[in-house]
Amino acid sequence: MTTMRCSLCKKKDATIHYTEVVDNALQKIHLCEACAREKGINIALPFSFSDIMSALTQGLQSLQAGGEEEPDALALACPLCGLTLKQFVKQGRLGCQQCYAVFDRALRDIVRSVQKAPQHVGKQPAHAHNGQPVPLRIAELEQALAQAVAQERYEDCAPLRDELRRLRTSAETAP
Amino acid sequence: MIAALVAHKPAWLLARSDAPMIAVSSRVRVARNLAALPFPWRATVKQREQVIEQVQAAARAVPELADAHLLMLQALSGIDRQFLVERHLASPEFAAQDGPAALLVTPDQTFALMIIEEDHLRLQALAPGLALTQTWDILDRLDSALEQHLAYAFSARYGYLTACPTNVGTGLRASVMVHVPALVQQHKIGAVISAVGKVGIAVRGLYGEQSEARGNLFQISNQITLGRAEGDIIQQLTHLISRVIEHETKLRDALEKNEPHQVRNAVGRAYGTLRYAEILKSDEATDLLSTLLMGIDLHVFETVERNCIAELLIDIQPAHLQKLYGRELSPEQRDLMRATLVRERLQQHA
Repeated sequence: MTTMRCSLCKKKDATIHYTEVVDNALQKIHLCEACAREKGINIALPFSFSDIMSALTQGLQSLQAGGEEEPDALALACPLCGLTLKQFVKQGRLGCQQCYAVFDRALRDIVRSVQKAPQHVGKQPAHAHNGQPVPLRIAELEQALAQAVAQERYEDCAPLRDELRRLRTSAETAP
Repeated sequence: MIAALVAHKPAWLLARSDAPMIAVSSRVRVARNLAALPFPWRATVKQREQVIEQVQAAARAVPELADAHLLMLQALSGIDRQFLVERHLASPEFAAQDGPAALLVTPDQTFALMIIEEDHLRLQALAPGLALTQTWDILDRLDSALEQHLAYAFSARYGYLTACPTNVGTGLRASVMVHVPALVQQHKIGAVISAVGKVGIAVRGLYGEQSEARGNLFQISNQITLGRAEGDIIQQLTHLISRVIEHETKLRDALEKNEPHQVRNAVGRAYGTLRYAEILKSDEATDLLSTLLMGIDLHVFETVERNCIAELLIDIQPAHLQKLYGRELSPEQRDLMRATLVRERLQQHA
């Protein structure tokens, strides 16, 4: 089977292939003409991220529906807001802060595809409202870094190290 | 309160210098959610009301928002809602909601805070021209001030947590409205769109469908919100937009040098139509005002000031017309009133 199926309808052969390189990560989307037209995709325009999201989540859905290893995975629900993995996949939206922890496994790939990065860099709430004062965050980052090294995900290491360095410096210079 | 906003020209609209108006305005927004409550689409009416109460209380403690207008969405008519969207103070998604939601707007319209949109808070700052760094600086201060009174959903890995994974991390979307008639006329805009798309920047038409933007106005914004600090996002976008401005400037200069008569002809005809037309459709008026704006930028047309055109581009929109004339208008009546408004404004300058 050499022909590629459309990422959206999964029925027709894909004739439009979209590739994007951002930060050395390759992103590919394959569409049939009908789906491309329906999405209002002009070849001159880049896809909107919602299109990429929908393709991705549909991919995830069919994967989960195939249900080889975890038939109940789609029934996984957030204890705080009640959102199930199935609903998340369908809507492409999370229901609350807790969902980020509950659906972590599914989320990692999606976030990576959409954002091309695994780790936040930048502003943080100055007050540790979320029960995550700076030392705790440093511990969490150290753990994530050790895990990334162990799993040879070297591309994930640099941002973790940057963040750690920044936090340690600010912790040292704090009054 | 809507009346006060209608009467008050927004600070972000009016150019402060005599430079060509290629970058019209800059906007930066952040998405924030309260840690303890479900995101809006999963929240009950009561929980949404709790969000509004908590954010309102926090805003009262922030001096910059002390004199802000508070608008409860459910009390607003369809025209009022559309007016806020046309003024860039609210998103179409916000305006289309049924449940409880609120909008805080400072009198000069530099800040707007949507409470209950896709996320609990959408805080934005607007400024004229290309001024993303300054706009982010003031937004950052306001965000930090609010955050002293609110517990935001945040994780070390994903940063500020949002309903949609496309906003996590900084939650920041910076955008600049650009007026690029020469790029459009020379069919270069497609190349610009695909080039910037490769580095995670999107270009969208401001009015009308994506593919055919009316008035040669486009919105350029970052798409990636995770893995880059706010300052880097702002810097990259600013750099890129400066290049777009350079490109547009070169094309305009070439146009004026190589085809001076065609340029003057187009500008003169645009003025003639706007000055004397009895019926003006929105698309036609927007395109003609765009031509006039370029004429002013190129100094081939000096009858009218740049800011008069900038104001008209906002005021000729459907809800604006109906607010200005104080009554509901059918599409046909709007075309008549639009032409009247344009004639009057241009006559004041003639």
